[in-house]
Amino acid sequence: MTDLEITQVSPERYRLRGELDMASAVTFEDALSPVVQGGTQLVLDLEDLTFIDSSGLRALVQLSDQMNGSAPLVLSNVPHGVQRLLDIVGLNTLPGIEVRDDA
Amino acid sequence: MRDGATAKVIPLGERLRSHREERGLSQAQAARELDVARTAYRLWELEAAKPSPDRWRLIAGWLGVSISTMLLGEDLIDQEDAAAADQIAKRAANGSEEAWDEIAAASPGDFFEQERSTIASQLRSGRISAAESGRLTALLDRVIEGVESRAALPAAGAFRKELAADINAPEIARTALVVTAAGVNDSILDRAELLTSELVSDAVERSDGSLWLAITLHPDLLRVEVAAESGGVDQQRRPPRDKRAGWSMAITSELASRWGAGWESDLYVSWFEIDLPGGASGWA
Repeated sequence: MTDLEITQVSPERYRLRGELDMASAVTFEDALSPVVQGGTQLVLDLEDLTFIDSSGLRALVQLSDQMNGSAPLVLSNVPHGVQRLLDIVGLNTLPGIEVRDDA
Repeated sequence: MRDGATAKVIPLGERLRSHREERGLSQAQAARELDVARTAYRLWELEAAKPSPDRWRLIAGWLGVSISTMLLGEDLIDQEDAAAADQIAKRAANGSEEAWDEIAAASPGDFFEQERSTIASQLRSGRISAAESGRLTALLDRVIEGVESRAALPAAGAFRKELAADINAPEIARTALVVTAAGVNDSILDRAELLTSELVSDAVERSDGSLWLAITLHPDLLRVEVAAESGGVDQQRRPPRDKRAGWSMAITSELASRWGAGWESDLYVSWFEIDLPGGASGWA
């Protein structure tokens, strides 16, 4: 089972530690779907995310879709490798996702 | 088996996993407790790699079983030998099971030297008979032989395994890659890890049975191939046409040196290769 730890560090900010793939996407959805359904802002701190693949990206986009345009899903402290993946698939250009450096 | 009530032998990987899950530990936490890299620990659970004899005492202690029970799960001794060894050690220590292992652990040398010197000292002090000493020594020789013949199998550089096509397959495949391609530089390994995850995730979405994963490391090339079983030619499955499949394609064509995919009768076969720097094929 893929290791992924999700920690709430402030009311709107969650830190992901570990790997986000097909298996941990389930954990991710279970933990964060209820949060965005409250219509709140959400910032994901990805500093300790050591791996993500297309299944993980799908989980991010599905979460942002659930926010229904109320606010963008903010990705913060995006590691270099993750940024490269976002560039390849063009995820930065999606309206529902915002990459921000606010460490 | 001579007596009908013989217990089922539990393979070491299964024992590690169930013990870890009972204690509610992640693989990373278990690896820390056993003082080993997480990738190595994962492969132990998968039975894709074997702990070295230096780790046996620690692992048996962690599991709370005797070393003979552990070696039984490793298929290095049989049930009769395991029971005899436990019985001799127990009697030598007057009913306490730990004593033998404590004496051995305190002796110098590697696992086998420690066991040999313990057998010798127990014989000298009259705690075991000459026949028992002979039996244990012969058993130890067979274990050494078993370990050596296992080590002769090609471990690094090639990996083949059948996996269940479920959501855990991508992570298992990535772990196998990291171990098989040990020594390849980090940035290439990162690329290969991502490509492997894409290949296997795609196969999982197409298959409802088994996957066969083959990883081969050549001096100038790393190749990963996945074959996925489907219900038959008529039931060739396409992954749901969501964004993921498109991204996976974009990632693969960006990062692989070469790749391909297609049906071979009822198997969906996909592969990628990455040229390794310094090799002949990279700059041809």
